[in-house]
Amino acid sequence: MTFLLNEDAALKTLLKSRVKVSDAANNSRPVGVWFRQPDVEIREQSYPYLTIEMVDISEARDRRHSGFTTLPYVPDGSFDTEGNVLRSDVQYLTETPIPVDIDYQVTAYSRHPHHDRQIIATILTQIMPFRHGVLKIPEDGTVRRLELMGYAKRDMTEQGKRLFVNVFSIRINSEILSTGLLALDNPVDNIRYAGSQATNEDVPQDN
Amino acid sequence: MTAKFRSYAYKNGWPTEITRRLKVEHDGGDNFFIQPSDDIEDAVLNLEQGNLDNPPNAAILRFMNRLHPHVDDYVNLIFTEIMDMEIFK
Repeated sequence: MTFLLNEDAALKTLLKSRVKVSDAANNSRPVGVWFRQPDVEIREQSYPYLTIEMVDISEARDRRHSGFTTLPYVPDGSFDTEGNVLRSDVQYLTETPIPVDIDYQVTAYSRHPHHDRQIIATILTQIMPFRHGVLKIPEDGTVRRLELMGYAKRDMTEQGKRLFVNVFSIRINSEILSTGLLALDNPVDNIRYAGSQATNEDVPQDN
Repeated sequence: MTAKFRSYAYKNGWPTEITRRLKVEHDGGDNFFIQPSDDIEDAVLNLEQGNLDNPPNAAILRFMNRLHPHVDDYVNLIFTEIMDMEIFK
Protein backbone atom coordinates (compact mmCIF):
# COMPACT_ATOMS: atom_id res chain seq x y z
CA MET A 1 0.00 0.00 0.00
CA THR A 2 1.02 3.57 -0.28
CA PHE A 3 0.51 7.09 0.97
CA LEU A 4 -2.97 7.62 2.44
CA LEU A 5 -3.96 3.97 2.15
CA ASN A 6 -1.43 3.10 4.84
CA GLU A 7 -2.70 5.85 7.13
CA ASP A 8 -6.32 4.79 6.54
CA ALA A 9 -5.55 1.18 7.36
CA ALA A 10 -3.45 1.99 10.42
CA LEU A 11 -6.10 4.28 11.89
CA LYS A 12 -8.86 1.73 11.33
CA THR A 13 -6.75 -1.06 12.84
CA LEU A 14 -5.90 1.08 15.86
CA LEU A 15 -9.54 1.93 16.54
CA LYS A 16 -10.74 -1.63 15.99
CA SER A 17 -8.13 -3.10 18.29
CA ARG A 18 -8.55 -0.64 21.18
CA VAL A 19 -12.17 0.48 21.36
CA LYS A 20 -14.32 -2.04 23.21
CA VAL A 21 -17.51 -1.73 25.23
CA SER A 22 -19.02 -3.86 27.96
CA ASP A 23 -22.53 -4.26 29.35
CA ALA A 24 -24.68 -6.78 31.21
CA ALA A 25 -24.96 -9.00 28.14
CA ASN A 26 -21.32 -9.01 27.19
CA ASN A 27 -18.11 -8.51 29.13
CA SER A 28 -16.17 -7.01 26.30
CA ARG A 29 -16.99 -6.66 22.64
CA PRO A 30 -15.20 -4.73 19.93
CA VAL A 31 -16.82 -1.71 18.35
CA GLY A 32 -17.30 -1.76 14.57
CA VAL A 33 -15.37 0.73 12.47
CA TRP A 34 -16.45 1.87 8.99
CA PHE A 35 -15.20 4.34 6.45
CA ARG A 36 -18.26 6.57 6.08
CA GLN A 37 -21.73 5.56 7.25
CA PRO A 38 -22.73 1.92 6.84
CA ASP A 39 -26.08 1.07 5.27
CA VAL A 40 -29.12 1.65 7.48
CA GLU A 41 -29.75 -2.11 7.88
CA ILE A 42 -26.21 -2.73 9.10
CA ARG A 43 -26.27 0.37 11.28
CA GLU A 44 -29.37 -0.72 13.20
CA GLN A 45 -27.70 -3.98 14.21
CA SER A 46 -24.31 -2.52 14.95
CA TYR A 47 -24.59 0.13 17.65
CA PRO A 48 -22.21 1.27 18.98
CA TYR A 49 -19.95 1.92 16.02
CA LEU A 50 -17.34 4.37 14.73
CA THR A 51 -17.00 6.02 11.35
CA ILE A 52 -13.83 7.42 9.78
CA GLU A 53 -14.02 10.24 7.26
CA MET A 54 -11.01 11.79 5.57
CA VAL A 55 -11.89 15.49 5.42
CA ASP A 56 -8.74 17.21 4.17
CA ILE A 57 -5.14 16.90 3.02
CA SER A 58 -3.03 20.04 3.26
CA GLU A 59 0.62 20.95 3.02
CA ALA A 60 2.16 21.33 6.49
CA ARG A 61 4.00 24.58 5.80
CA ASP A 62 5.23 24.76 9.40
CA ARG A 63 7.35 21.62 8.83
CA ARG A 64 8.61 22.53 5.36
CA HIS A 65 12.32 22.16 4.51
CA SER A 66 14.39 22.49 1.35
CA GLY A 67 17.43 20.59 0.16
CA PHE A 68 18.46 16.99 -0.31
CA THR A 69 18.52 14.22 2.23
CA THR A 70 18.83 10.49 2.64
CA LEU A 71 15.63 9.01 3.96
CA PRO A 72 15.79 7.21 7.32
CA TYR A 73 13.05 4.82 6.18
CA VAL A 74 11.98 3.05 3.01
CA PRO A 75 8.77 4.59 1.65
CA ASP A 76 6.20 1.94 0.92
CA GLY A 77 4.98 1.64 -2.65
CA SER A 78 7.80 3.73 -4.18
CA PHE A 79 10.53 2.88 -6.71
CA ASP A 80 13.99 4.31 -7.23
CA THR A 81 14.95 6.34 -10.30
CA GLU A 82 15.88 3.11 -12.14
CA GLY A 83 12.43 1.68 -11.51
CA ASN A 84 13.67 -0.86 -8.97
CA VAL A 85 11.76 -1.88 -5.88
CA LEU A 86 13.22 -0.18 -2.80
CA ARG A 87 15.42 -2.22 -0.47
CA SER A 88 15.97 -1.70 3.21
CA ASP A 89 19.77 -2.22 2.92
CA VAL A 90 20.26 0.65 0.43
CA GLN A 91 20.46 4.36 1.16
CA TYR A 92 18.37 6.62 -1.06
CA LEU A 93 19.04 10.25 -1.85
CA THR A 94 16.06 12.51 -2.53
CA GLU A 95 14.85 16.05 -2.21
CA THR A 96 13.39 16.70 1.23
CA PRO A 97 9.86 15.25 1.14
CA ILE A 98 6.86 17.58 1.29
CA PRO A 99 5.24 17.34 4.74
CA VAL A 100 1.48 17.05 4.67
CA ASP A 101 -1.28 16.83 7.26
CA ILE A 102 -4.13 14.41 6.76
CA ASP A 103 -7.26 15.44 8.64
CA TYR A 104 -9.76 12.82 9.65
CA GLN A 105 -13.04 12.93 11.47
CA VAL A 106 -13.80 9.97 13.71
CA THR A 107 -17.43 9.88 14.84
CA ALA A 108 -18.75 7.56 17.54
CA TYR A 109 -22.44 6.54 17.58
CA SER A 110 -24.06 4.66 20.45
CA ARG A 111 -27.50 4.08 21.89
CA HIS A 112 -26.52 3.59 25.53
CA PRO A 113 -24.98 6.32 27.67
CA HIS A 114 -22.64 3.77 29.26
CA HIS A 115 -21.23 2.78 25.87
CA ASP A 116 -20.95 6.44 25.00
CA ARG A 117 -18.81 7.16 28.04
CA GLN A 118 -16.67 4.05 27.54
CA ILE A 119 -15.88 5.05 23.97
CA ILE A 120 -15.00 8.63 24.92
CA ALA A 121 -12.76 7.44 27.75
CA THR A 122 -10.96 4.87 25.60
CA ILE A 123 -10.35 7.25 22.72
CA LEU A 124 -9.17 10.12 24.90
CA THR A 125 -6.95 8.08 27.20
CA GLN A 126 -5.64 5.23 25.06
CA ILE A 127 -5.68 6.36 21.45
CA MET A 128 -5.52 10.10 21.04
CA PRO A 129 -4.85 12.01 24.20
CA PHE A 130 -4.73 15.74 23.60
CA ARG A 131 -0.96 15.47 23.34
CA HIS A 132 1.57 12.78 22.37
CA GLY A 133 -0.76 10.55 20.36
CA VAL A 134 1.05 8.25 17.93
CA LEU A 135 0.10 6.05 15.01
CA LYS A 136 2.39 3.23 13.90
CA ILE A 137 2.54 2.52 10.17
CA PRO A 138 3.84 -1.04 9.88
CA GLU A 139 4.37 -0.89 6.10
CA ASP A 140 7.30 1.53 6.34
CA GLY A 141 8.15 1.23 10.04
CA THR A 142 7.39 4.88 10.82
CA VAL A 143 5.62 6.34 13.83
CA ARG A 144 3.43 9.36 13.04
CA ARG A 145 1.99 12.07 15.21
CA LEU A 146 -1.71 11.61 15.86
CA GLU A 147 -3.07 14.92 17.10
CA LEU A 148 -6.52 15.50 18.51
CA MET A 149 -7.53 18.82 16.99
CA GLY A 150 -10.98 19.04 18.50
CA TYR A 151 -13.80 17.18 20.17
CA ALA A 152 -17.53 17.89 20.01
CA LYS A 153 -20.56 16.27 21.63
CA ARG A 154 -23.45 16.11 19.20
CA ASP A 155 -26.17 13.95 20.73
CA MET A 156 -29.37 13.70 18.70
CA THR A 157 -32.64 11.83 18.41
CA GLU A 158 -33.10 9.31 15.62
CA GLN A 159 -36.52 7.71 15.01
CA GLY A 160 -37.60 8.69 18.52
CA LYS A 161 -34.57 7.09 20.17
CA ARG A 162 -31.61 8.77 21.79
CA LEU A 163 -28.40 8.63 19.81
CA PHE A 164 -25.17 9.60 21.53
CA VAL A 165 -22.73 11.10 19.05
CA ASN A 166 -19.14 12.22 19.60
CA VAL A 167 -17.02 13.88 16.95
CA PHE A 168 -13.22 13.69 17.15
CA SER A 169 -11.23 15.80 14.69
CA ILE A 170 -7.77 14.36 14.32
CA ARG A 171 -4.66 15.03 12.29
CA ILE A 172 -2.02 12.57 11.12
CA ASN A 173 1.37 13.75 9.90
CA SER A 174 2.68 12.33 6.66
CA GLU A 175 4.90 13.30 3.76
CA ILE A 176 5.00 13.02 -0.03
CA LEU A 177 8.14 12.51 -2.07
CA SER A 178 8.70 15.44 -4.41
CA THR A 179 11.43 13.83 -6.55
CA GLY A 180 12.67 10.36 -7.35
CA LEU A 181 14.81 8.28 -5.03
CA LEU A 182 18.40 7.88 -6.18
CA ALA A 183 19.98 4.71 -4.85
CA LEU A 184 23.43 5.35 -3.37
CA ASP A 185 25.65 2.39 -4.25
CA ASN A 186 28.29 3.61 -1.83
CA PRO A 187 26.89 5.06 1.37
CA VAL A 188 28.68 8.24 2.36
CA ASP A 189 30.68 6.70 5.19
CA ASN A 190 32.31 4.20 2.78
CA ILE A 191 33.70 6.64 0.22
CA ARG A 192 37.50 6.41 -0.14
CA TYR A 193 39.57 9.28 -1.43
CA ALA A 194 42.57 8.91 -3.78
CA GLY A 195 45.95 9.45 -2.15
CA SER A 196 47.51 12.91 -2.36
CA GLN A 197 50.56 11.66 -4.30
CA ALA A 198 48.45 10.21 -7.14
CA THR A 199 46.43 13.41 -7.35
CA ASN A 200 49.55 15.57 -7.55
CA GLU A 201 50.96 13.58 -10.46
CA ASP A 202 47.97 14.60 -12.53
CA VAL A 203 48.51 18.31 -11.91
CA PRO A 204 50.49 19.96 -14.75
CA GLN A 205 53.74 21.55 -13.55
CA ASP A 206 54.44 25.21 -14.32
CA ASN A 207 58.21 24.79 -15.04
CA MET B 1 -11.24 37.47 4.55
CA THR B 2 -14.92 36.95 5.35
CA ALA B 3 -15.77 37.45 1.68
CA LYS B 4 -13.12 34.91 0.68
CA PHE B 5 -14.45 32.38 3.17
CA ARG B 6 -18.03 32.83 1.98
CA SER B 7 -16.93 32.36 -1.59
CA TYR B 8 -14.88 29.27 -0.64
CA ALA B 9 -17.76 27.72 1.32
CA TYR B 10 -20.20 28.42 -1.50
CA LYS B 11 -17.85 26.73 -3.99
CA ASN B 12 -17.74 23.76 -1.62
CA GLY B 13 -21.50 23.43 -1.79
CA TRP B 14 -22.63 25.28 1.30
CA PRO B 15 -25.95 27.10 0.86
CA THR B 16 -25.79 30.88 0.59
CA GLU B 17 -28.40 31.42 3.31
CA ILE B 18 -25.84 29.95 5.72
CA THR B 19 -22.58 31.33 4.28
CA ARG B 20 -23.83 34.92 4.14
CA ARG B 21 -24.37 34.82 7.90
CA LEU B 22 -20.85 33.58 8.72
CA LYS B 23 -17.98 35.88 9.49
CA VAL B 24 -14.24 35.26 9.93
CA GLU B 25 -13.18 36.84 13.22
CA HIS B 26 -9.79 37.57 14.72
CA ASP B 27 -9.04 37.12 18.39
CA GLY B 28 -6.43 39.89 18.52
CA GLY B 29 -3.60 37.36 18.64
CA ASP B 30 -2.61 34.69 16.16
CA ASN B 31 -5.98 33.03 15.72
CA PHE B 32 -8.82 33.35 13.30
CA PHE B 33 -12.13 31.67 13.98
CA ILE B 34 -15.68 31.38 12.71
CA GLN B 35 -18.38 31.34 15.37
CA PRO B 36 -21.89 30.83 13.98
CA SER B 37 -24.82 32.40 15.83
CA ASP B 38 -27.01 30.07 17.92
CA ASP B 39 -29.84 29.85 15.41
CA ILE B 40 -27.65 28.46 12.62
CA GLU B 41 -25.13 26.53 14.73
CA ASP B 42 -26.82 23.16 14.17
CA ALA B 43 -27.04 23.75 10.43
CA VAL B 44 -23.36 24.74 10.27
CA LEU B 45 -22.30 21.69 12.29
CA ASN B 46 -24.39 19.42 10.08
CA LEU B 47 -22.58 20.79 7.05
CA GLU B 48 -19.11 20.80 8.62
CA GLN B 49 -19.27 17.51 10.52
CA GLY B 50 -22.07 15.74 8.67
CA ASN B 51 -24.85 13.68 10.23
CA LEU B 52 -26.45 10.28 9.74
CA ASP B 53 -27.64 11.18 6.25
CA ASN B 54 -24.82 13.36 4.93
CA PRO B 55 -21.04 13.02 5.06
CA PRO B 56 -18.98 15.93 6.45
CA ASN B 57 -18.17 18.80 4.10
CA ALA B 58 -15.57 20.55 6.25
CA ALA B 59 -15.29 23.90 4.46
CA ILE B 60 -14.30 25.78 7.64
CA LEU B 61 -11.46 23.36 8.43
CA ARG B 62 -10.22 23.34 4.84
CA PHE B 63 -10.33 27.15 4.64
CA MET B 64 -8.40 27.47 7.91
CA ASN B 65 -5.79 24.99 6.63
CA ARG B 66 -5.23 27.27 3.64
CA LEU B 67 -5.01 30.69 5.25
CA HIS B 68 -1.55 31.43 3.88
CA PRO B 69 -2.76 32.89 0.54
CA HIS B 70 -4.62 35.47 2.61
CA VAL B 71 -1.51 36.62 4.40
CA ASP B 72 -1.90 40.13 2.93
CA ASP B 73 -5.24 40.44 4.68
CA TYR B 74 -3.62 39.30 7.89
CA VAL B 75 -0.75 41.77 7.64
CA ASN B 76 -3.14 44.61 6.86
CA LEU B 77 -5.26 43.64 9.83
CA ILE B 78 -2.30 43.56 12.21
CA PHE B 79 -1.04 46.86 10.81
CA THR B 80 -4.43 48.48 11.35
CA GLU B 81 -4.58 47.18 14.91
CA ILE B 82 -1.10 48.50 15.68
CA MET B 83 -1.93 51.89 14.24
CA ASP B 84 -5.08 51.97 16.37
CA MET B 85 -3.03 51.58 19.53
CA GLU B 86 -3.06 54.51 21.92
CA ILE B 87 0.65 55.14 21.53
CA PHE B 88 0.23 56.12 17.86
CA LYS B 89 -2.63 58.53 18.46
